[in-house]
Amino acid sequence: MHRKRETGCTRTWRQTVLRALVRNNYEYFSLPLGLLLFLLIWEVASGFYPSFILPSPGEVWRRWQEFYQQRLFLHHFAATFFEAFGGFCVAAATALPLSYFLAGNPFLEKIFTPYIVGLQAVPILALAPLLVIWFGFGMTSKVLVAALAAFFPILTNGVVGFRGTDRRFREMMAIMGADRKTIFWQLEIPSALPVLFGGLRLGLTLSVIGAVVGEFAGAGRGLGYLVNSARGNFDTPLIFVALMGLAFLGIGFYLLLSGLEYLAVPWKRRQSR
Amino acid sequence: MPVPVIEVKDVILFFDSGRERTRRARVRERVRAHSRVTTPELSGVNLQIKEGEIVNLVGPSGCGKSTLLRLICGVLTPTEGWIRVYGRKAVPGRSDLGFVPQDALLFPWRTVLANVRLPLEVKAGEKKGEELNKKAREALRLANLEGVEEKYPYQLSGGMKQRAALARGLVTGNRILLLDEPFAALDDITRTQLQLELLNLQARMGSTILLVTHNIFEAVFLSGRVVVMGEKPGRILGEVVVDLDYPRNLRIMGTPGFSRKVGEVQALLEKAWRD
Repeated sequence: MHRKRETGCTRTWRQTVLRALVRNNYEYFSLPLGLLLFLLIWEVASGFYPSFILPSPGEVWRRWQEFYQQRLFLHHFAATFFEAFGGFCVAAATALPLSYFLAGNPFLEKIFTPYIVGLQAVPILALAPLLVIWFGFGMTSKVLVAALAAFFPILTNGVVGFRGTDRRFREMMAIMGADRKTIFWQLEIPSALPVLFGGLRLGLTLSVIGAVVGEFAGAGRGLGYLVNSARGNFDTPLIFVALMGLAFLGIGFYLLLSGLEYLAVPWKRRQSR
Repeated sequence: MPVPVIEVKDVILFFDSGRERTRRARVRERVRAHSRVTTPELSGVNLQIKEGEIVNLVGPSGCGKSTLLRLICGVLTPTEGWIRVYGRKAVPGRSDLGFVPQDALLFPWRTVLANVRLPLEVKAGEKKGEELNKKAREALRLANLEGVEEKYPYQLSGGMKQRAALARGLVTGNRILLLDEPFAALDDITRTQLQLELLNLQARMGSTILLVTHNIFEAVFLSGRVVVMGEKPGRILGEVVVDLDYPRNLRIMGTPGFSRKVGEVQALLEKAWRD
């Protein structure tokens, strides 16, 4: 390696360019390379099993095209998207304010904690049927299941975040003569923001799971419903199509929140990289 | 006789409830003060600071130096006695008083300029405004920190952070500056540089400065008067008037007069240890 660098003059320009690309920009190659490797292993592995157990990537792709052309994919995808996103929004809108009050008020926290822990301990899978009974087969029950799944990480991170405000900063604000409102917007919110985003990101991912669980418990639309019905028909490629859809949903949500975080938390950019 | 800029009169403070301002807490404090079941944080503190003076508080850690600064800032209220700034009760958010904390304490989510602007924003209650930016830039210039307005605190060195903190103190007003161990976290060279700059600044603007420090040499070098404090309870042991001429430079550190003053301060501290 070192000797090569010393005798670099003997290298052709093409080698030089290639080296520079690989050495300095390997992160650009890592993603497609990993994907290629994944597909390759999948393709090889699918050769050993019948299609209804493990379909090949090509089969899944054709099934997706067919399904898409029937205008069914977006129909189901949109349902899950709105359930998950709606649930997330409901969860964030309730959990964030609640976490602020819990962080600031130990008495309130003592009252609420048993219920929070208890609700969290009950698997969402077991709660979903109940919610479907209460709120019907429509979107509402799924939105609520998704909200329930997303609620706790947002809440707990919120409490940690809001409680983490540095007391010395609080004192600085007091010395400047700041009122409650100013302290809230200029100190408490920005100082909690990085932790809040951690909770939101977790919550958004969990809301997708929540939506699917809700659809499993009873639905007529959505990617989770799709998995369930395809299983009945031994249509394994379709299950894979649904799974891919869910994966894309998750990745999309993740990127969305990462982007938001990048914009909202500029002072953490370098550390997080 | 002119009114002293800062006047601390017979102050007693019980720390554990000093933060609370409810009526019941205050009653509880008073009861405790009279029954003397706990040691107060500060006891019988008297201090007067005149216009344009540089006064330094020295003492072992935990003797209530910083607490005294917070009382003067108005974020703590004494259990007994009173504190006046320009003849009026000490309240937080004065527009003629700047506070420079230990470790700079710049808000990490704000750029340097926004950090310096913050006290003005708090006062004005509005976020934007070129007026505020102009004042903040002015303060940064006074603190000798230019060209990093749009940087975040994590991108600055320790000395630059402390300069920014100084600018934030200066922006609200340069009549009174309270500095809480402002140079403690800095290396020797940067510290000396900042000390000299502070003296320069004071000479130009005639501000009244009250500093807290651990460092006896720093105290004698900077101030016209060193107030020595003792602990348990926090009290004033005595003071040493440093009658060395301003403007000062580093050379005075080698003079016999300087050493004598350092000796006097040390003698006061030592007496407290022996008791």
